[in-house]
This record gives sequence, structure tokens and C-alpha cells, in this order.
Amino acid sequence: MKNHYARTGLQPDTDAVRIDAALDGVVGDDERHEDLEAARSVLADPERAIHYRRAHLHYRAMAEAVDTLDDPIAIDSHRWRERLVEFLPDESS
Amino acid sequence: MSIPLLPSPAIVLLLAAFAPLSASAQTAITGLASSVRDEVVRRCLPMQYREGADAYRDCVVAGVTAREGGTRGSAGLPDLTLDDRYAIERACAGADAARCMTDQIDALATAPDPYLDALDEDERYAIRRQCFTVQGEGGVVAYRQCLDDALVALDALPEPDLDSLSLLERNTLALRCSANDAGAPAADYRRCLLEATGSDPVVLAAPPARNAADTTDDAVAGAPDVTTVAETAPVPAVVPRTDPDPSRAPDASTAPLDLGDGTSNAEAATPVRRLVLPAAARPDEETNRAPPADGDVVITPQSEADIELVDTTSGLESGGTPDLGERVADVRERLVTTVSAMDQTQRIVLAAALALPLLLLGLWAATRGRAGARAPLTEPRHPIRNPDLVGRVSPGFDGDHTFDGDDTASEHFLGDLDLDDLPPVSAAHEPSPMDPTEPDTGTALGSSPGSSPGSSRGPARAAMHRPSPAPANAEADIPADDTDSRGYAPVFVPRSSFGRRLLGEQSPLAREYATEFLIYWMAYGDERYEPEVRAALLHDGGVDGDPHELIKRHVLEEDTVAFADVVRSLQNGAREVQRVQILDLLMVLLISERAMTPAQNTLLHFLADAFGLGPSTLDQRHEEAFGTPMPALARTDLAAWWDRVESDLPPRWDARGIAELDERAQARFRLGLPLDGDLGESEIVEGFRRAARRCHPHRFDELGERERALAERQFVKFEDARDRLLGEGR
Repeated sequence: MKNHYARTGLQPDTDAVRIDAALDGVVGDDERHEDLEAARSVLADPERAIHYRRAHLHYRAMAEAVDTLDDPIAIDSHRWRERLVEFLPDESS
Repeated sequence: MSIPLLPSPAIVLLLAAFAPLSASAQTAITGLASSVRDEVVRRCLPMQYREGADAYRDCVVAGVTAREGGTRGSAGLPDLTLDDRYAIERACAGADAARCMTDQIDALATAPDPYLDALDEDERYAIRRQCFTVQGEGGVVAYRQCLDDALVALDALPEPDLDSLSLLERNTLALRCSANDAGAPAADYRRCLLEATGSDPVVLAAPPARNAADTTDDAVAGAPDVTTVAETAPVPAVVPRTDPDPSRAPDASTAPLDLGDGTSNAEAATPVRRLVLPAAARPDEETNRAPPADGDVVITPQSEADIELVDTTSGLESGGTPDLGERVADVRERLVTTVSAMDQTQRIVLAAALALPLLLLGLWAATRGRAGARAPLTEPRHPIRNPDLVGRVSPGFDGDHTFDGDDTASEHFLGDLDLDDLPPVSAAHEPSPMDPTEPDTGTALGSSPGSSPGSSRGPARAAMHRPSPAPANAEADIPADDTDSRGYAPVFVPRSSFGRRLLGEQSPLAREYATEFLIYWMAYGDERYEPEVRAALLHDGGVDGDPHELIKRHVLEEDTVAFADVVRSLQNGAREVQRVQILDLLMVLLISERAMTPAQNTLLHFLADAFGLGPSTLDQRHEEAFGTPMPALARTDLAAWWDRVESDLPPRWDARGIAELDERAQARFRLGLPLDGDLGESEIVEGFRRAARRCHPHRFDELGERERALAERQFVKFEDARDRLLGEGR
């Protein structure tokens, strides 16, 4: 799962206009431009943005709980650590 | 009593003749013992007639796999079905659980897994209900034995002919017949269907010495043409003869049948019919036979053990239809003879059996008088906290539905619950954050009084939401709970204040709070709350020590650390069956049919893994709840994923949008019905039936009072939705 907010610095309430403005500001930075384009494909649509934001919360929570997958009873059928890597809490904070 | 009319080689021969596409299936069964092979073939043949050779092949392969797995004996718990694991876990809940589990698993070598796949869904359900108590108390071997016994009893009855019924009638009948007590024999369900459809559920005895070879010889010799094959077909098991030609000369159907014991059917009390196998189901060499005559009884393929002779030709000796007087006299004579032969105990049992329907009718009538179209209440054998619900989850339906706001049954149903011990958070809304169609204005565990416009809320329901004085602190508010005495305790290193509180609670209560947290986490994760309520909760939710308000506040604060502690708590403090039921509860309370949101999808996938259940169990639970496998993990971060699913989006994913629809549309949503277009009565009933099944008390019997009450409340909402749709036009 891509953490569009973390990748692009966009806020959850960012609309299409602001994303376009951000895109204009990264001309020449291909990697950042790519990230913004990917984010735009989801966040520029209000309906998609709502559900992405809600799923984002769950991913943050799951990242916080990722060690529960180390419990003897747990099963990791979705390679959760790879999915959650962009949501893992900052250990320094 | 069953009559095995074909020997095992004949079954295999027949299989070869009928199922040319099933070569691989036959290959798969060749390695099995003959008795096991015959059983697999017997159980799977109906699939061939119903769904074709491919389904038959799949059935055999599955059966072989089940047999092999069931007889290995060394399989570990993860390899067992959820039902088996549940039985083992219950049996081994005491001391020395590991040794007990090993013994249970080893004992499985003597108890092959009964193969239920060839049964229809309702009969599988009935069988599992019958064995539920054994499953919980007797261990896995006894459970499997119970299933097997139930299968045998079921097999002893012919399949009911429901083809002539409409969908609505079939549903009504299925609901009525499944409203038996939990633990009632599954055969009663089929017997009920048979009786309701006018079929004779009584299996007539046949001489044990008579086998298929005997009957074939009889046919060749001019005796009755008794031909049969193994297993049941979808068409009526027995087609009653109609209007026999009285002028027809005595033929095979009236000739005495040599019973092989020196008697004939004319001498024996057991009537004998000419049984004709439909041409399509016979081996090639038999297809040129003359079609059945009017007087013939056509038996479609039945299981080897299932072939029964059904009396439909009393008086055939005269070649005509007997008059009513003769029939009555005959029945009376048989009845007197039978009763005379009974001892005192049997007579008492008979009297009780005869009185029971009258009692139930009286109860039904009394209940109906009070509750309109509500279903009769039944008393289950299993100790359900609200036994009324069992009957209501499988209600009868008489088509006479009006929605007049009468909520008497709901009052009765909810009157013994008093979960809402919290002060209201909002006086303007009905509390139902668990309800995906309604924005949150309270909770089922902590809710507010009031009523939404048009909703039918009785005094008892209002009483449920009455506030009570808040305790001075949350710890003081912990009620005693004796629902879990098995010593499971949440042991983990908490990282949040909420986790520390969970750790300080007694086991059952900690589990309940953790479950409540997950419910709110899923509900609020989809923003099912009123903004003003959210603001109020964030401002002072739980400051008075109320644990439920505190839970809501933690959730609204997006306390991800608390979420992690909740998962840890349940990993350690809930047994597997409880974790399964927690997932069931989340589905029942928050997910509507065909309306799982991406957030719900994500959470369920993660919890299933963290709870040690995995995708297969999640699939199974979802399929049981909604009839379809669990959708794949949502990928809301990818445009490609959105392009695939977008056509199914609003309004089904938008709970608050749904809440703004008119009540009929909301009722449609609740029952998983199309939001637009005309609805047939059968669609409504079918939708209600699916939804009601999800709420069955047995699915939550390992959870606490609060959690069960939530499922019960959801059931009431389904009832309301059904009544509204049926009563106000569609």
C-alpha cells in the first residue's frame, strides 16, 4: 500500500487543484512527479480520496500492530510487513 | 429402513455408464476401501444429476480428500475444519489441553469426516444444529459420529419434491421447518418438508434379504419391475401414480412380489409397487424398456441406502382407486394395531408427540395475536440467553405483513436486556453507530434515547437506552461477568493507556471491551458518526469514568496504539472460537450484503491473520454470512483497483448517504436488496432470510451478553426492514 500522504507531503484534505499545483512545482523531478501523479489518480477524486483516507487510518493502525503478526497464533497471509512498510511508525518520534 | 438394491460393483458399473466424464473421479476413488468408496459415490451421485458430471467429479474428489484427511489421524489442528477445531477446543478447555488435543486428533483415525457436501445448505445447517451440543461437549469424535448418525437418519428419508412450489413457498416452508429447536434431529427438517408437501415421510420396511440382483431377477421373471440405482436425483423421489386405469389387466404392478422369505406382498402388510427407473437414469441396456404405465411408481435414482418403497397404491389389487371409506378404515386399523403394540412409555411418548403440535399451534396463535406476523417462539435445547430469538431467526411467514409500528415483539425480545447504562451523548438521534445505515449518535453499548422519524421503537426499546448514573470511575463500573471461566487471560505488554486498562480487567470483560473497541474502530473508521457527537466525545468522552464513552473517545482520537493493544489483548485473551465470532459480529453489525467498504475489507483481512484464522476461515465466515467468498484485499492506493470496482460504489459504500435515503431504501439496503426497481415478495423474504441467518444466536454463543445483544438488535432491524418492505409496498 502506498502512503500517498507521506510520499508527496499532501494533506488528507488536499483537492485536485492543489495537487495540480504541486505537480506544476515539481517539473524536472521525475520521481516526485511520478509520486504525485499516482497520488492524483486517487486523491483528486473526492470519493476515492475519502475511502483512501479511511483505509490509510487502518494501515497506520495495522502498522502499529504489526508485531502482533509475530504472535505464535498469527498468520501472515498477505505479507503485511511489505504492505505496511510505508506506514510504520517513526521510531524516533 | 433402507433397501440396498444394488451391490457395490453395480454402483461402479452404473457410475461408468452414467458418468463418462468422471473418469478422474473414479481414478481418485480407486485407492479407497470399498466401503468408503461406496459411500463417496452414494453421496455424490445426486450432484451428477443435479449439476452434471463436472460437479460430480468435484464432489468425489472432495469426498476422497475428506476421507483421506479424516483418516490420517496425524493431522494437526490447522488442517482440520473449523467445526472440528471447535469441537476439540471445547473438549480440551480444561487442564492438560495439549495432551487432550493430541488424543482428540489421534482419535480422528477412527472417525472419518462425514461428507455433507452432497446435501443442500439447509440440511447441512440442520445437521450441524443437531450436533451442536455434542460438538461443544463430546469432543470431535462424538461430533463426527453425531454428524454421521444424522446423515444416516436423513438418508433414510426420501427427498422432498419442492419443484412444484414457488420460490416463496419453498422459502416459507424451509423457514418453518428449520424453526425446530436447536438440537432437533435433522431428519425432522426433511420430515417436515415431506409432510408439508404431502409426501409420505414414513419409510416402509423392506425385507433385508432382498438386494438388487434379486429384484432384477424378479423383473426378468415377470415379477414387478423393480429397478433402481444408487442415489438421489433432483426430481421427485417418488412420483405418485395418477389415475390408474381400472380396466387394465393385472400386470407386474399388481402381481405378488416374492419377498424371498416365503411370503408375497399380497400376504405381507407391506405394500409393493412397481418401481420404474426413468430411462435417462438407467444403464443403456435398460433404456429400451417400455415407459412406465399409469399404475407404476417411478423412482428416480436414489442412494443405495435410500431406496424406499412408498405406499401410493393401496387397493391396487382391485385395479382401481380405493374409496375414502376403505382408506380411512385401513388407516384406523393400522393405527389401532400399532398403538396396541406399544408399551406404556411408548404411548406416553406418542401422546406427547401428538400434543406438541397442538401446543405449538396454540403458542403460535397466542404470539401472533400479540405480535402480528411475528414467528412463533421456540425453546431451544441449547442454553441461549434469549431463546426467543432462535425461533425468530427462522420464522414462519404467512404473507400477511403490515408495518404498523407495532413493536410488541421487539419489546418482548429486548425487554430483558439492559445494556445501555450510559448517559446519552445526543438527545436528537437514535443510537445505532453499529448500524451501517445510520450515522452514529450513540452506541448500542452506550446509546441515547429518542427515536428517528418513522422508526418503530417501543417503550421497552426506549427503556434499553435509559441512562443510569455514571460511576465515579471506570474501574468501579466493571460488572461481574461469569461468561468465561476457562482461564483465558489477556497477557501482553500494553503500550497505550487503554491497553493498560484492558490488562487490568477480568478476562471476559477485557475481551468485551476489546471487542467493543473493534466495533467502534470499524464503524468510526467509515466515519459513521455525527460531527457534533464526535466533537462532544473528543471533548469530554469518558472523563466521568464511563468505559464505553472512553472506548469511543480512543477510537475517535484514532488511537492506533490502543488498536494494537486491543489486537494483542484478543490474541491472548480470547479463544479461537471467540475470535471467529468476533469477526462474525463485525460482519453482522457493520457490513451489509454487497456493501463492504475498503476500510472494512482491510480491517477484516488483517484481523483474520492476527487472530490466527487466516484467509480460508475468513472466506468461510464471509461465505456463511453473505453467500460469497471474502473479496480480495482492497487497494485504495491504486487507480487500477478503483477502475475495477468503481461501478459498485455509492451509495452502498456511503453509510451516511444511505442514512439520508428514505426508509424503504434503507430497508432494502439492510436486506441487501437492490435500491431501485420493483421487489417481489420472494426477494424480500429471501433477503431477510439471509440476513436473519447471520444473526443466529449460536453464531455468537461464545461471546458476552453485550455482544450477543448487539446481534439480536441487528436482527430486530432486519425484521423491521422486512415488515416495512412487505407492508408498505415495494
